[in-house]
Amino acid sequence: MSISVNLGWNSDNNSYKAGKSAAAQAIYNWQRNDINLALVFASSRYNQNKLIDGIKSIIPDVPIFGCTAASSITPEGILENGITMAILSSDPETFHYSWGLGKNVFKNSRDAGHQSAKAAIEEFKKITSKYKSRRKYFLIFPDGVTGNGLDIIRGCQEILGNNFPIIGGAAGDSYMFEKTYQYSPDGVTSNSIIGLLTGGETELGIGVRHGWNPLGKYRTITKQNANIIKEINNQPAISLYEEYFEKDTKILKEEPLSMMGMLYPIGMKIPGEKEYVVRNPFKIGKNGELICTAELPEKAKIRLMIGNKTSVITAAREASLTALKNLGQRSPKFALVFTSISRKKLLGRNSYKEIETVKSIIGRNVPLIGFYTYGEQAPFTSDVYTGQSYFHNEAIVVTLIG
Amino acid sequence: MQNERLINIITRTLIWLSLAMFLFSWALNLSLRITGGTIGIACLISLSYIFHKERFKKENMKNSISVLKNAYNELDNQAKLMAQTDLELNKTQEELDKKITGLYTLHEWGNKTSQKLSINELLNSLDSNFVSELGFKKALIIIVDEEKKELQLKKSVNYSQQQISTIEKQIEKENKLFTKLLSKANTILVNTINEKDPVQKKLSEICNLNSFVIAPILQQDIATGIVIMGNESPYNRVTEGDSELVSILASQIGISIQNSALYEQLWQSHQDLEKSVKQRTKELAEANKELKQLNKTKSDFVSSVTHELRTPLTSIKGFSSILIEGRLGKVPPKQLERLKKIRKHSTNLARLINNLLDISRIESGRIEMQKEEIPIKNAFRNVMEIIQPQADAKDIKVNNNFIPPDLTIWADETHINRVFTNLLGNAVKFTPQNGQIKVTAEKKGDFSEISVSDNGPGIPEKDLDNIFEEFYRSENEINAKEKGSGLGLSLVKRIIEAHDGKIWVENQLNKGTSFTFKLPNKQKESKPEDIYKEN
Repeated sequence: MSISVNLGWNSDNNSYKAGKSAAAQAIYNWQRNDINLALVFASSRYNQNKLIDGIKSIIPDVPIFGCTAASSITPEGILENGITMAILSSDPETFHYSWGLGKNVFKNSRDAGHQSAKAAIEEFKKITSKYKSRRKYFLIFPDGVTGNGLDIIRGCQEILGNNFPIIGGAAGDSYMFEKTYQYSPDGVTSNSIIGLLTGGETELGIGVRHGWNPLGKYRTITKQNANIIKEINNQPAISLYEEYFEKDTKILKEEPLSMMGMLYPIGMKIPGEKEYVVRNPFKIGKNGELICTAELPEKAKIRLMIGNKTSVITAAREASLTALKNLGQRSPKFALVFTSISRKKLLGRNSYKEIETVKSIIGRNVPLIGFYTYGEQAPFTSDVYTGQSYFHNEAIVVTLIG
Repeated sequence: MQNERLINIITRTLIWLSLAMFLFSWALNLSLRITGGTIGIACLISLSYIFHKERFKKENMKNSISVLKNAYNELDNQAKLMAQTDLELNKTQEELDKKITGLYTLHEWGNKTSQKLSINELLNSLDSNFVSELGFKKALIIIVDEEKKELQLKKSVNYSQQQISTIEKQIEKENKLFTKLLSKANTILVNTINEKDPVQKKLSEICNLNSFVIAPILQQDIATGIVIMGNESPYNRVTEGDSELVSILASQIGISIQNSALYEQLWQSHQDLEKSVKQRTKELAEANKELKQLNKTKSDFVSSVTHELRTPLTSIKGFSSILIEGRLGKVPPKQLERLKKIRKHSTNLARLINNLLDISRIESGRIEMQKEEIPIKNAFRNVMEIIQPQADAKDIKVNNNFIPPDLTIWADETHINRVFTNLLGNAVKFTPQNGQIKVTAEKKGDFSEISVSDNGPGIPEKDLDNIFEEFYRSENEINAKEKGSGLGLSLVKRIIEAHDGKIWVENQLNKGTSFTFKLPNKQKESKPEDIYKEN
């Protein structure tokens, strides 16, 4: 027996109805008696508890994991204000999992990572005694607007090991950058991280790319604190954007920086990696600080990054090809796509092309869901990092389960 | 660079010069001192050359670095230009994308709603998906209520129930503000809330929007409502292009409301018309019922009167016959003549009364037709025995060659004889001397169609509609000469209809008349409407 996956999605205005209809679609024609888990990505406009109640009215005893999203992805396109979900079932030898919830990301992101990973490991040990399996990967959905995304991963890595593959997407809201929600059997939480630790014979193929290229001079981060870049070249950090776009801070505040930060993020060269690691600042602090979803270290040599539609689509193609290559001989049974809202912003009306590109490479009959994130988690590919997971911005993470 | 070259040339020249001097002194066997001096000079010159070269190298490098720095800065400036151009390009592209998507959405919506004629249906079509495809997060539609004559929230998209009730209260409370917005009747774009502008601030608070567009709903140049669309996210503000989209939407809503009102009027007048038609139909049905009742009363009256008349008439006829036959003694010729007239007229009167009686009986359904299958040829022959002498008297030829011998009708023989007698009698009456009467019969489906045609003067157009009416007599010379009851054709029609048949007349003035009737040819219950269908 292998993994079975069914999908459902809906965009009803009524939260309960939307949840119920999506679950009903997913359960329709379900050939098996059991469901191991449901993955849910939904718009933050919904009343989250009612949405989950709607799902539970159809599949009452199934553990639900997931988070709110800037937009959700279905095999048929992008849902701006909807819900997309997958139900998954497998025999324990092929696939099994444990999970952990980490709270208070804002206060201590690293500790939240610890909590989530520890809880998942504890539970996993109980399963291991039954199936003699080893841990394969950690799928996480952290809050995308509070805390330091990189610290969350560090926290997880301190428990799971530096090179343990961690993948996922940071929860979003509808471009408000205010509050996101995470789903777990503990209910709907905020300011938290949900992690699923998986095991079994299933293999994973991961591909991550962004497609942005460096532009202009190197600059140095001269002062920073966690995810806040305070000074660049001893000037307030915002000067980078003021200089490049010849606009003062006031205008940059009016013309939301998040849009500019998405289109022109900050990049840092990582030795051995093909692409720069990028960070998109989404808020300007009082003294011209740039607030990002994850940190860039002090003294880091940075550059402004630029991308275009072609480079972004090419990146999606490369990520899909890498994921497929990493899956080896196996054929994909299920695909999860976590892609940055920046990409959606850049691609505009052509956003569907990104998902089309992924589908054209991994195969159109592979069930696929995903969401637009405020940050992505996936391992680096270079030898230097030997598969260490990292917090990405502006990237697309294609995860194939086979 | 030029200096360096010059020094180079001088140094080389000096080295060659000192070497030449050395060779020259050696050749001339000059003293060693001179040789040593020459070598010393050569060494000095060489050292100065090396020293200079190093200096030049350093300067050269400095120059190169400054060149590179310049180039690097120039490149960075170019990068800035690129970034700025790219940002402009992205913005334009985003505007264009937004506009294309928005216009496409509006077009689709227009197509879908052009058929919708109720305002509620129209407002329902403005759902969350529509608003989001148009590029906004939230929408409010506030329209002047025709009955209450005040602004009311008619539609909200992506607002919670609690927010909606707050907005409703605010519209009532801030009535002045909204009325002022209506009076402006132009599209307003608020991209960034101006904290000093109380109207913007208030609207932003009421509508929970950080940036928005307000467009008036116009009906014949008068604003009757407003559409507010916008975003709450400060990171996703409305732009110039958005105001056009909202403005188009508002004007479409205006047109639709106008259409809807017109349709409402049309529908109402249609309803009124239907209502009055129903009323009139009801009245007519009642009048018809009354008429039927009256007709029945008339028939009953005629029936009883005629019955009462027949008894004394029989006595008159009987006693006049007794007197004529002289059974009560010989009657003088003058009295005999008068008595014969009495008998003739009373016989005519008796026939008239019988006809009347039959008509009223048939009408009131009191006669049951004793139907049987009768060969048409036989029925015709029976009647001809009576009619032939009259035809012969006028040398009229009666042609019956067109009656198929096996064709039958399903009818009461006695009554059908009366039909034939009447029709053939009329034909003989109106056919001139030496004329011709043609009787034909034809099978048509389950019916037999029989025609009696003459070549008489025909019936005037004005009389055609009335000839089957009781006591109606066409005004012509023949009728003036030969008195008739005016009941013959009326009786014929009733007999035919009592057989589920139909009779009609075809006529050409001065060329002749043709009466045709159709009757079922066999015993098969045939519904009356079938006949009408065939005709």
